[in-house]
Amino acid sequence: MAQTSAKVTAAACYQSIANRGLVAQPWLVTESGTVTFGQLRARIDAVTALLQGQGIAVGDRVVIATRDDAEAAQLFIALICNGVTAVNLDPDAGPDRAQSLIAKATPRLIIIDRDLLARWPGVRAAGPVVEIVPAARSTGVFGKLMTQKPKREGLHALLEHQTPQAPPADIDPETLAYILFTSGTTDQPKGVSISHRALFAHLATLSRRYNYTPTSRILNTLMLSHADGMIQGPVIAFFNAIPVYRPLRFEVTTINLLLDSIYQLRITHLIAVPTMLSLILRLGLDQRDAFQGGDFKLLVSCGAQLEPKLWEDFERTFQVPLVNVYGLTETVVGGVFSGPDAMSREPGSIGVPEDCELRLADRDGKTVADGEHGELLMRGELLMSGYFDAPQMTAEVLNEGWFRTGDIARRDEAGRFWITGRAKNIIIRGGYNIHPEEITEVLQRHPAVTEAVTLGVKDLDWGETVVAVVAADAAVSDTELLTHCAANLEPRKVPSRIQRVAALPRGRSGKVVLEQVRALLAQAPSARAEANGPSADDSERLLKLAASCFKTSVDTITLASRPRDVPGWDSLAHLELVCALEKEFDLRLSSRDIMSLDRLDKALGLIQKT
Amino acid sequence: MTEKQVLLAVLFSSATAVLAAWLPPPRWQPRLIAAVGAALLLLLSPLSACLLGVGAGLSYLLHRRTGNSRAALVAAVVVIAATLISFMLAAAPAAKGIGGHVVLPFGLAFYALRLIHYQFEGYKGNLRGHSFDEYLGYLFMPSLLSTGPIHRFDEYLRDLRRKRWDPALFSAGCARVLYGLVKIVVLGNYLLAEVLPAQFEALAGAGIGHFYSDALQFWLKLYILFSGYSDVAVGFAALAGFRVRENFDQPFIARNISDFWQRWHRSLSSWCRDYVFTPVLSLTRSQGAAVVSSMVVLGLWHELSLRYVLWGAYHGAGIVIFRAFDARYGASLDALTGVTAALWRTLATALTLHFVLFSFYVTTAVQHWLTGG
Amino acid sequence: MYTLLCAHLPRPLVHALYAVWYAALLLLVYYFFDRQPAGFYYMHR
Repeated sequence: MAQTSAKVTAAACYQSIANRGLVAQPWLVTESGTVTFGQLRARIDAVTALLQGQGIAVGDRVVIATRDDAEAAQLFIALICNGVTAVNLDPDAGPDRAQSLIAKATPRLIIIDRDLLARWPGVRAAGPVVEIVPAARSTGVFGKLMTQKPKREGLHALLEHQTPQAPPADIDPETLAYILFTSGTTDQPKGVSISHRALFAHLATLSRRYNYTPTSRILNTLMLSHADGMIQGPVIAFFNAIPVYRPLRFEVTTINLLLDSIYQLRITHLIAVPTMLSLILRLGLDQRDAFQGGDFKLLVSCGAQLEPKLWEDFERTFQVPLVNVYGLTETVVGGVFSGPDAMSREPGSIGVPEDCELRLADRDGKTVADGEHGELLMRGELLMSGYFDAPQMTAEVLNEGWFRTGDIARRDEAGRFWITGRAKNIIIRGGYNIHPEEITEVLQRHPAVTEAVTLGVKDLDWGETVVAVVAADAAVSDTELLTHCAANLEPRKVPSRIQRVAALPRGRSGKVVLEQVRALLAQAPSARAEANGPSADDSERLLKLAASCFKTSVDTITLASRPRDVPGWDSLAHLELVCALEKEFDLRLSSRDIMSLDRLDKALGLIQKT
Repeated sequence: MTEKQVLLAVLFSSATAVLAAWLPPPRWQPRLIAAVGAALLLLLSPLSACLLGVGAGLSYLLHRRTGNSRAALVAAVVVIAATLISFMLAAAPAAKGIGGHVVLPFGLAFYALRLIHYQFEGYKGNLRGHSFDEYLGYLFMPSLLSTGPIHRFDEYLRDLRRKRWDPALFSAGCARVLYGLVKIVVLGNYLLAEVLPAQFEALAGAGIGHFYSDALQFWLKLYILFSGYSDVAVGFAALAGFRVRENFDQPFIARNISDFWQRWHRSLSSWCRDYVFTPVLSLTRSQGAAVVSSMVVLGLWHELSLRYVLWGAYHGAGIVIFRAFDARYGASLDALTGVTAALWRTLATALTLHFVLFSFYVTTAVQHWLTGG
Repeated sequence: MYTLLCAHLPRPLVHALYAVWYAALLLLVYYFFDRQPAGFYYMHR
């Protein structure tokens, strides 16, 4: 279906899940349960009836704000099928931001968790509200026997009383499918507006590029309030009539479970951000065969620049084909792909465009010569229609069909593109975009803060971390400032570090000079990254040492090597390695250290411990 | 109970455990597998069931309470080893080594090693979070109770967490059980026990040939039967969704004695490597001491006797000598090509095989010499 | 072995061959099962 050249629309997707024998097949599997295609279809029918009953028509906007992933995904798709623009908000957003976004969206209906409504009291003023109330669970056998049917409230009660109705068969492709608010300041929220045209054209591109087939199974644990989570998860699964799994929240402690799930659920495609890959590579080495269950096809890395070393180490260690996707919320999710084919694959590059055009331009918009650096411009069906209700901001980035990405790039002889810098002011932490001004704005609202600026600092695991440089009353502690941030910002936007200064360096025009702030940061004694990675120097020395003990060349071993992978690592060589380590790094290993030293990265841990 | 009935009980409980591994909801699977194993033990040896039950409870508690304390590890290993040794001592007069009669509580020799393995891995900090039920399922898995392999807890746990219906693994498991049974019943109990002895007798004649044929028959039978039982055990584990470590890898084609011990009863030799060799190595920093002590423990595990001390030391010495030889000449021998290389390989394999074949003769002779018998 | 056979013979035939082979082995086991065991060796430890 997705493979045909004919344009696939929301209605066609609805038809295909309604017609095929998919009723009992899972579409979305979350921690709390499974939603089948049959249930999804029933939900679309009920929402259609609800919308018609409320007089909500094509082109109107409906806000979704819920922590229940299954709920958010079902509503999102049901709204799209009706040509109603879905505005799915991040439930972690602070009250001020959430309320300003909802006001901006001027929704006809707000579907929101009951407890979120309590946290965001101003929401009621912005439009009619329908609450999502978790169904009361009857407890124990006795409870189940006594209650015949759980009493439903709010949204579920409303939907129960609807007469199911099929969504419209024809929706103008320029209708907005969804609006996604990316990080921006409170005064000027940036609502990326994606039309049906852009969404479905790009879903077809992605499906072809990833080679989704009816037997594919996606695992995607990214947040649904972001395009990589929602579009590359439930939406593309709906598009291809395949299941998507969200079995857990990705955390350091769930890495083993994630790898178990990939094997157990016979996952074919994993959607991940580089930070996840970095942590899996660091902590998931006991399960290097997790991708070797016979089903896995493709690892999709998105959201941030994938460092070439991480890229190659991950591919080699876990033996998986990888594709890196470059794109922005403004381009649905992607457009430029690198790998897994030999032609486009080049670790560090973003590869080549698919179903869109790229151009590099100088400040005046003129195309630069091959090999020169310039701002990356994109053109194609995948582009957003604009920022919602912000013609000025739209005009700044969209011009004659070309979209300014804000990234500086160059093109190599093979036609692949490389990102070399950033013209826009943005922090990408763990695959999520953070607008530094949003954090600065929050900090400046604190009465003790005289001035503040926020910037991103390079980090091995997170790509970048958020650092706030603050001039404030010394009586106020860093903790207090961070608590203030946490109360007003999503957790991932809270600075990893606060650096105090007497005053911010400003240029003649009065603007803060970021270069000087960076220099200040570099000098600061506490200049350390959020999580210190192994020093490249130590690991290099260690690998060299190990190679000489195992009588092999350095290229054949990595930090992930274990005795059974390295022919020369027998018990004799083990002793040799221990002695060499002690000598080279001047340490004394305990018997426990020696016994548990069954992977080279553990040796690195021992070196760094002392 | 006759031996055949024991075999039938093991087969029946293993098959029941396969059902227990698939039919109930996941939470119940390890519990029920453990229950089937416990029922088998209670039937065959209530004493053994009690020992394993107590051992499981105590080791789990110890791991939970003390985490990875060194004193707890030492205490646990001492208690487990002391239990095993006292049963072996008590049984010693009746035992005649490998091939003797029932001497120990059913399965003790294997689960004692598993309990020690669990403590060691806990100490090293290698154990993922798990429940007591899961641990019981590991210890009581019926097909592995009687003959090993000494599988690893982390591998068991990983398979449990990754459990999925896998037709390829299941059909491989079926074939594996069948081949194992053919080895035991047809090759071992019939061919090697009833048909071949006469043929060997006729061929060998008297003198050195007699010795030769005896050693050959002994090792062949040992290999066929033991690997047959391992096949059945590994096969049933596969049917239940677990990939258990292999016990044998064509041991008779080993090129050297070190290689042989990586192919023969591998789960035992790797246990000795991890829990005797490496600790001794880390304490003494002496390669020779570590090799010899781990081979002596490996020998004594079979039977507490001077004969097995010598037998272990014989293999330990073999490995030390081979290592020294290999360090000196290994590179130049590896560089050989063509006919000379083939000749050397054949010679090395034959030498290794004979080193193993005559191990009992040599050690018995030394024992007689030492004891003046 | 299976892949090797499948490369040269039609798949149903290979499956039939396997079925015959397993059945024969099963029969053998069944037939000899009553023999006096030659010793349980490790089982008896």
